[in-house]
Amino acid sequence: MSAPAMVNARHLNPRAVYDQLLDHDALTRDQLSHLTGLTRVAASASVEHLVERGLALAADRSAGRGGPAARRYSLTPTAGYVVGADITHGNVTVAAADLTGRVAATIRRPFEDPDDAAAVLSQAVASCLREADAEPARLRRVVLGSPGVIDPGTGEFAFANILPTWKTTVTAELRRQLRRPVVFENDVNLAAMAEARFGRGRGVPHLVFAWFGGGIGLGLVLNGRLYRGRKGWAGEIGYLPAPMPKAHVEVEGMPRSLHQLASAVAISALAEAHGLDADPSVAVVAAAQAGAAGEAFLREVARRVAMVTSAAALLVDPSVLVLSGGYVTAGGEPLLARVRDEMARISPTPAPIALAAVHDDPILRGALQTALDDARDALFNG
Amino acid sequence: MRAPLVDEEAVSTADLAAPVAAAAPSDGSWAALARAVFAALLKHGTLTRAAIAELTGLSRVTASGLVDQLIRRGFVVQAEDVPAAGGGPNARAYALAPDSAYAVGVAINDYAIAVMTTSLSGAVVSRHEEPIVDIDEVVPAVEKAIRAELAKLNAAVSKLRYVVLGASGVVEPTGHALAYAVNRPSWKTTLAARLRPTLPCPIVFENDVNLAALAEAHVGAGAGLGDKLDMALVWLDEGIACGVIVGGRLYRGAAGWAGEIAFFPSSVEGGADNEPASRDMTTTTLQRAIGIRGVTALAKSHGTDAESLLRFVNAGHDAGRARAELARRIALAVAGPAFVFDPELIVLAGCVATRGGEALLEAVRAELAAIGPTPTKLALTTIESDAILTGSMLVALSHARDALFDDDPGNDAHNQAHSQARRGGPA
Repeated sequence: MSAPAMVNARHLNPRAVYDQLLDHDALTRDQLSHLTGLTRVAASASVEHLVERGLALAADRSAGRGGPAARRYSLTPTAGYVVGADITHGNVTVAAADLTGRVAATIRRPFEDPDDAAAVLSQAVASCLREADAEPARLRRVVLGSPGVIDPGTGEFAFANILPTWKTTVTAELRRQLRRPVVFENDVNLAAMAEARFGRGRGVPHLVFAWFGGGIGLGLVLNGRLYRGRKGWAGEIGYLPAPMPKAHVEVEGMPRSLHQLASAVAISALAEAHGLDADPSVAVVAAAQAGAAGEAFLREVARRVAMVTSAAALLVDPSVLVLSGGYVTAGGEPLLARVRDEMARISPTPAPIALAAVHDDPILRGALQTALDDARDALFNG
Repeated sequence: MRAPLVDEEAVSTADLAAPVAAAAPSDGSWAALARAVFAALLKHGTLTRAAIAELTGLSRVTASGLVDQLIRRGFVVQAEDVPAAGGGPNARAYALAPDSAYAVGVAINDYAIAVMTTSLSGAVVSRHEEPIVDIDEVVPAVEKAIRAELAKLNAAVSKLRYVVLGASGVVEPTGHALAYAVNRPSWKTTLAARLRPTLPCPIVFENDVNLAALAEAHVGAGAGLGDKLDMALVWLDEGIACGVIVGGRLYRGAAGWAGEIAFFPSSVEGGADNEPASRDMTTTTLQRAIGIRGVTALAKSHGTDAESLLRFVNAGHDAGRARAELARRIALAVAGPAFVFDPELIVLAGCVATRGGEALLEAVRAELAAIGPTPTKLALTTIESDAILTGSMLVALSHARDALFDDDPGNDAHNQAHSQARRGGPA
């Protein structure tokens, strides 16, 4: 019986029209009225409102017939731009998209623990906008993906995994330099968003995206929204204590945790103990091809992955549990089939598990989509 | 493209709070307007028609018409104790008629049935508890108990608007069956299904620990932390489980399994022999390690009993070590929700937590910090008793209030069967 926040109908109708124009290239007023369920008068007023604001424009006239009824409207691509970035060890990839979602430019720059990260990043954003032929004034949102824990309250890093010399004020500095809303987002969270929108999570309410790389992390999309936790620490499942196998090889300085059990370093040590290549991705592929000889290693890897996925499934019970990263991606379906078996021994939860479906630049795509969502919301909440 | 896949049916702690009367109705439907009038009266007790119009932002004519409709339905009465100063209809004051509808919360465990009845105003009007004589005959016993409580209140059964049954086990998203019922296979499909035809209102299941979490968020340690609270409740009792509140709403997961941490493989060696190990028997589950039987086994192995271990009395030479091990095991249960959900608050509840008290909590904090960095705050439950029962009563009340205005005013002969068909339950 809570009273939902009052939403002004003045903003609601143009938003409905805007969303239809996003999904269709060009529409007449009649079509807009039909698709939105608005009266023809309301749909017309809404589309005129969008035209006045420069967000939509009258396109061609359909089938050569004249009159305003036949005029078709579409979104103005140049009305605004967003920028997304994926910051990794050594490189930053920056992409600019217009408000319709079309990617206008993608650039890559070296990025090696610079002293002034904010300056380097703001220059990269400016270069990308130039390449996209976009006026800097039309930039509406910047979302930057990076490993680390970001406090959703302040937008600053609680800690930055790969860039330890970053100042804790990098977000504030970047906002000052770009004079635009800038947010950092955890890279796994952005990959989870990409998977939720374009991959296995389409049409389901709750997605867990489990990343197996140098570290282990979960991205949680609950009720269709990115769930970060109170201070941005949600999904840090690697810290969970785990039962260690008898033949376990201790990794220096790491507590007995899921991280120590299933991170790339741990699987590398396991591979060497099995006489396989120390690169865990190479090792799982070799083991899968080796048939019976590789089975013991593959089983043990699957058992460790299943420890992580079972814990995630028992806590979150997602609609789908998506696995990605490093040796898990390399292991493919042969590894996944064994993970399913091992999971069934631990957890009675019904969550289906699958490999990630978004393969190309999931972090960058997640960053752009998050920026687009925020920018479009901001258009109608002013 | 945008997919606001909000769990519409999830129970919000905000829903449970007295609705904010000052907020204008969210849409123009009759139900929304009637709810706004209802909410104003709930918050302020007694109001004139003019005051109702002012508080709801409705015109006087609209507000007055709604008051008349609510009077006809019996939910609102003219307040008798307010003197008609100056006379005239405009000076008359109105209030909710608390005895016009009731909601019932039920909590069932292996031993007892507890029934809590609330009136429309949210006042608890009766509480009843009885032992379970025959676990297979629990359905007729619950029905009989509910009818007996209503009879004591001189309330017709037709005034019963909603029943929520709290029980252990995994509740299917429909709220009508258990997907997983520990020790009670006979309850799995029968409990709610068999009650429904005999009582004239919707009846749904809810997981008992979920209900305790909702109660904690609303009237316990989470009270006052806002209606968008992220919170987890770790239940440490005979069973081990976790109730998760996300954004002020109960989070059940896709199939009702969220927070079932009892199955977690743990690094604990040993544990209670009479509790299940993991399915392949290779690791000790959290249930085996820190369910009450695991705690008893731990105490025994250190030459003491569970009660003394938890209360830290009769501390023998080994008591410190036993206590540290207990805290370490509890930290394993707390770590799951702490690192995966990063909630603002994790509340420890259940008999192990309450017996252990602040001293145990402090030890668990230290053990959690040793596992990894987490900003989550830990607290003990502040609900002294009946957390599950209170939770089921609060949820039943919330649904009952919501369902009052489901039908339009043209249908004043409240068609119960129709209403029931439309509102299957909270899930």
